[in-house]
Amino acid sequence: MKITRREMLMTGAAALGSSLVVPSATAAGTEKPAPAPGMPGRDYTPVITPNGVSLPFKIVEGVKVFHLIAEEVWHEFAPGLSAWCWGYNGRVHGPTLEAVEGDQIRIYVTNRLKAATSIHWHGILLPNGMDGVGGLTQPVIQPGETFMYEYEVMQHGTFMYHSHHDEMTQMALGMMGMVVFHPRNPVRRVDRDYAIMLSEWRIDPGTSRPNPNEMSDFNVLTMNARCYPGTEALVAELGDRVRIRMGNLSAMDHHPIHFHGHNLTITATDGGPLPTSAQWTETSVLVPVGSTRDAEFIADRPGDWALHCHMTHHVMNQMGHDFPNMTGVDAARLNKEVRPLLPAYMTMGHDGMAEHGTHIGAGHMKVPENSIPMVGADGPFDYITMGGMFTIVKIREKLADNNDPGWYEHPEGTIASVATAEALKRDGITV
Amino acid sequence: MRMTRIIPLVFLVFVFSGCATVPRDAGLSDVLRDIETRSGFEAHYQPNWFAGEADSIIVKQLQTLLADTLTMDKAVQAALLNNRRLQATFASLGVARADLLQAGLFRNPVFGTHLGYPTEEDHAPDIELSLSFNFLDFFHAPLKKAVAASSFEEAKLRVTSEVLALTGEVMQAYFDVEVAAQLFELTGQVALSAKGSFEAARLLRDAGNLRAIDMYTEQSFYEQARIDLARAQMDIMNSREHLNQLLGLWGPDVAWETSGRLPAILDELPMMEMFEKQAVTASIDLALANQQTETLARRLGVVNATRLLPELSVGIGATREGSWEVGPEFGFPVPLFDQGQARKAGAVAVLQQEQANYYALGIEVRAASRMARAHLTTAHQTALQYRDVVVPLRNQISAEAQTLMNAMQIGVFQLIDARRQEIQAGKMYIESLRDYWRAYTNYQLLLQGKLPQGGVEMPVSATDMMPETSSGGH
Repeated sequence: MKITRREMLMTGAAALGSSLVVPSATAAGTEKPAPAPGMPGRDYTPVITPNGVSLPFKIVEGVKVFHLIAEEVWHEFAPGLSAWCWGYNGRVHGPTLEAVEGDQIRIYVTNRLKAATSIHWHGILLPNGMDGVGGLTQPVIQPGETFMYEYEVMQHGTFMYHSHHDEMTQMALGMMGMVVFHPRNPVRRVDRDYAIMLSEWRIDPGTSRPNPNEMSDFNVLTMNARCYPGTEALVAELGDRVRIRMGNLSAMDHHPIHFHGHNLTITATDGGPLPTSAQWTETSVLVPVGSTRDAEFIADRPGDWALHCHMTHHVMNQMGHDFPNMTGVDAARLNKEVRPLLPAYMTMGHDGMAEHGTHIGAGHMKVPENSIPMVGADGPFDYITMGGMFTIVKIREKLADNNDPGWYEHPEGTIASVATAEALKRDGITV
Repeated sequence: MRMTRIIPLVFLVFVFSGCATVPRDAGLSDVLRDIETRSGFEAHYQPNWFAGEADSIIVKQLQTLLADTLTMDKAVQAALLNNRRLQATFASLGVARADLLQAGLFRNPVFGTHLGYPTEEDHAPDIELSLSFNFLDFFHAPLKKAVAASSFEEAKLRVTSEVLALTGEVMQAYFDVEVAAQLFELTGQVALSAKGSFEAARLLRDAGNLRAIDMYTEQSFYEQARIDLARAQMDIMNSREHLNQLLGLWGPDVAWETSGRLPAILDELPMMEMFEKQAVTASIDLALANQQTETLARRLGVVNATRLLPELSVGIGATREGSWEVGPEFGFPVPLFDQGQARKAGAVAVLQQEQANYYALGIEVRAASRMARAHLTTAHQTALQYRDVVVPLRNQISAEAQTLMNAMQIGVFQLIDARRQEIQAGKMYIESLRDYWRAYTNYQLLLQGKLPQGGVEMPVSATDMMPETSSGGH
């Protein structure tokens, strides 16, 4: 919904009357009264977490109460690839925590794992005992226990939460989520607000559990714990101001997130908003491990625009690195030599990786169970040879709703296609 | 006189009675019947084969056996008809028969004469005539014939034993031919996989994607595999020639073909409750040792009977020195110094020795039967394990490797390697089948009465099974 904050304040104030201000329990007159908990729609436009949800809450005596349940989840990365991961509330990654600056929030954390855990509120200013570092600031949450975190939201921006006990294991299995604190009096508005958590995993084809011991050879790269073709598209209408909040809790890799057709302006980090003079613009936003970046753009070109990490191996699924270099090898001869021995053998990789996905998609070859091709999905023109940390931003003149509008219908003459003989002749191109 | 008529009659009776107990066919029919009862196969003796008078029925039978695919039973039957050494063995029965015959024959009387022409006087020459024979032969002959009869029985048992040994040898040789053929096929597959790896390496090198050292490494595996294949081919030839030898074949007859596959293994071994007892009862070696003690006992009887008076020469002599003188002659060694005590002691000692050997052999036969049974059980389980678990697992691994290859997780070299290991598992299965059939044949032979050649193989001990030391064979 596109409702301006100003409108809401004006219509809401009269309706709610004095409930905007709740007197504090401390000495009257000396303290500023605590603001009422921020409500979606009225005080903020909720962020959209593609492939995800926001964490629901209830108000109890002026406190915003959340409940996170840490548990094992059977999670689908993309159709055909699922695994046993660790997440929150039946989801991987956990639901996005949203609140408004000034809210008093209370988060109950129930541990349904077989291992102890804790939750750290990444980038958030709070009392030391609520920081969530297991062993240092609190006892760890034992299996079966429910802890209570409580603090006042004293900032606004994009943050993250994640396990801070046995992080190598628990974060590698998915225990993280986005945190968005909205400003109480926003000065800027955006028309679309998206939150994406970047992460990386090691899942060998034929297995169904990520390997948390992996340090350098990750083979599943995800946005909100989904890999292309499992990533949900982001949508915008022509002229929208779009904000994409990106957090990176990958174990070992930074990600330069590249956007096609538009420039991205970094407007905030997890340290807070950047003054306009300090904002910088680029086409690829580097999101270091343990950081968040808010990037904004005006959606002034319609079409299906790719948004992806620009590390070439990060836009592939489950790539194997024990494969010899088959580029340029005479595949027909090799097939002839090997087939008497192995009738089902088919040389691959001799002209690159592109055909691999089509062969598997068409069912020509048997692959290990619970694995997906390294690249892609059928696109409107050809097979799209992308995977991993890749999604599409779909900008249209008019959107009926917030759902995926299908493929872009290009205006005549704007698609790169086979050059006609006349054009070649006219421009003197010899082929 | 009446005496002169009676003595020749008694003489003739003894002579003819001796002949009646020597079988005309030299006991061959007994032997052949025994062989058929024990092994189920028919043997034949063709004494005139060398003279060019081969039994045409047997010749035709042999041609029928060699006509179509040679099975194990056909091979054994052909060997029993055509193996020349076996025919030599049957001929030895004739030798034993001759010994028996000889034992029943009295020694010929000795005729002697002396003519003395006078050199100083002039008168008719002196003449001496004598005719003597060994009187005690009449009484000793039955005892000596008894000894010879027992020896003859020994000979028959020896022949039976050799025939059974031959059947066992033919069966083993037949399995070796089948195994060599199957192993050659699988070794060929290994060479094919090595070739595939090498060709892949060569194509990668051509595209500029592989180091020379890696290509040469693959090539060296391939060339080694070709050597292995040549060896496997030689094994086929060796095993075929061995079988040809045993079947007595040459010329165009060596072109026989087997099925190329070992017979299927039984899923369950038949339980033989009293196999140890059966092995002892049927054992030819034990029967032979028993017969040898019998021979020695009878020989002791002869020694006892001839201790004091081994010989007595009785005869008639006539001399003419002017006038004729005729009279009987007697002669015998006087037992003054040698009363046969040494001969008796020797015969007793030899008998005791043979008796001890007999009991020792009995224990060996029992142990051999238990070992053969255990070896068979183990070999059977091993072969089943290969067939039902190891080989199917390797098939599974190859299939999984293909899926990983399709997902581009492993390359062509690893895929071919998985296939090669699958083939190796197949080879080990064939080897285990050979072990099984060998153990089965030995066990069968044991129950038919023959201890296996070279004894029963000791089962492999646990320490020998450690992967580092095993060499994938025996």
